[in-house]
Amino acid sequence: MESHESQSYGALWKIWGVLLVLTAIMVFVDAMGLPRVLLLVILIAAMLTKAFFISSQFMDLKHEKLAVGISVAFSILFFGALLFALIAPDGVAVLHGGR
Amino acid sequence: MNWSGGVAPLGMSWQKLMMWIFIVTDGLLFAGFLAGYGFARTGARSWPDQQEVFHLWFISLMTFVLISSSATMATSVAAARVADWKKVASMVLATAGGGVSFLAMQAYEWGSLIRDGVTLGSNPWNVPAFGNYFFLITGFHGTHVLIGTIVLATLAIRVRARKTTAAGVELAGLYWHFVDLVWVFVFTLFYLV
Repeated sequence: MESHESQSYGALWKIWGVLLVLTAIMVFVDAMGLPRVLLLVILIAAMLTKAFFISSQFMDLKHEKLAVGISVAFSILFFGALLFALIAPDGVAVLHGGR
Repeated sequence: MNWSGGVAPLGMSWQKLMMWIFIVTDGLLFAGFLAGYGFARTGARSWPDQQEVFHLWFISLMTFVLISSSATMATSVAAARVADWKKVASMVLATAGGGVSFLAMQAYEWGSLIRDGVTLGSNPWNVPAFGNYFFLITGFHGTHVLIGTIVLATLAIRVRARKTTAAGVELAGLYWHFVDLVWVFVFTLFYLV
C-alpha cells in the first residue's frame, strides 16, 4: 500500500478556511457590478484556485506521482475547454443562421 | 511519464487507480454538460439574471455545507491513516450529515424555482435552455451527492463494525471530494458567471 505522511487536522481545516474565503470573495465580487471581462477573470481564477486546493490537498494529489495529477487535471480541463472554445463558436454561428 | 507498474501502477493500489479513472470519466461527463451549457448560454439572445432568479446567499450556504463536508471527510481520511477509528466514525457521520443537508437545501431550491414556473421546457424569462441546463446539471450533481451520502452512511456502519480499512475510507473520500470539486465549477459557471 502506498505511504503518506499523515496530515495534521489543523492543516486540513486551514484549507477549509481558504476555500470559504475564496467563495466569499467570489460572491462579493459578483455583486460589485464589475466589467464583465474583469469579473470573468476573477471568478475563473478563484474557481481554478479552489479546484487546485481540493484536488491537491483534500484528494491528496500532492502525494501522488505527478503523472496522476497531470492526467486527471489535463484531461478534464483540456477537453472541457476544447469543447467550449472550439465547438461552441461554430455552433453559435449556425444557431444564428449564419449559414 | 513513469508507469512504475507491476502490482501497483503509478504507485497506487488498483482500487485507487480505478477510482481515479472513474473520476476522470465522470469529470468528462460534467465537462460535457458545462460546455453544452456554455454553448446554450453563448447562443441565447438573453439569459436570466442569476441575482434575480436565485437567492445567492442560500446557494452560498449550500456551498458552505459542501465545502465543510469535504473538510470533515479529509479529516476522517487522515484519522483513518493513524487508526483513530472513533474520530473516523464521527467525521464520516458529519460528512453524511452534510450530504443530507445539501440535498434538503437543493430540494427546497428546486421547489421554489418550480413554484416560480421554471420547468424543463419553459420559464418566466422565455429562455427554455435555462431550465433545461439548470435541472440537468444540478440534478446530475445532486444524484452524485445522493449516491455519496448512501456510500458514506454505509461506510459509517462499516467503520463502527471495524469492517473497513484506511484505504476504504480514502476511496469514499476521493469520491466525496470529487462531488465537492464539481460543485465548485457548477457554482461558479451556473450561479455566478
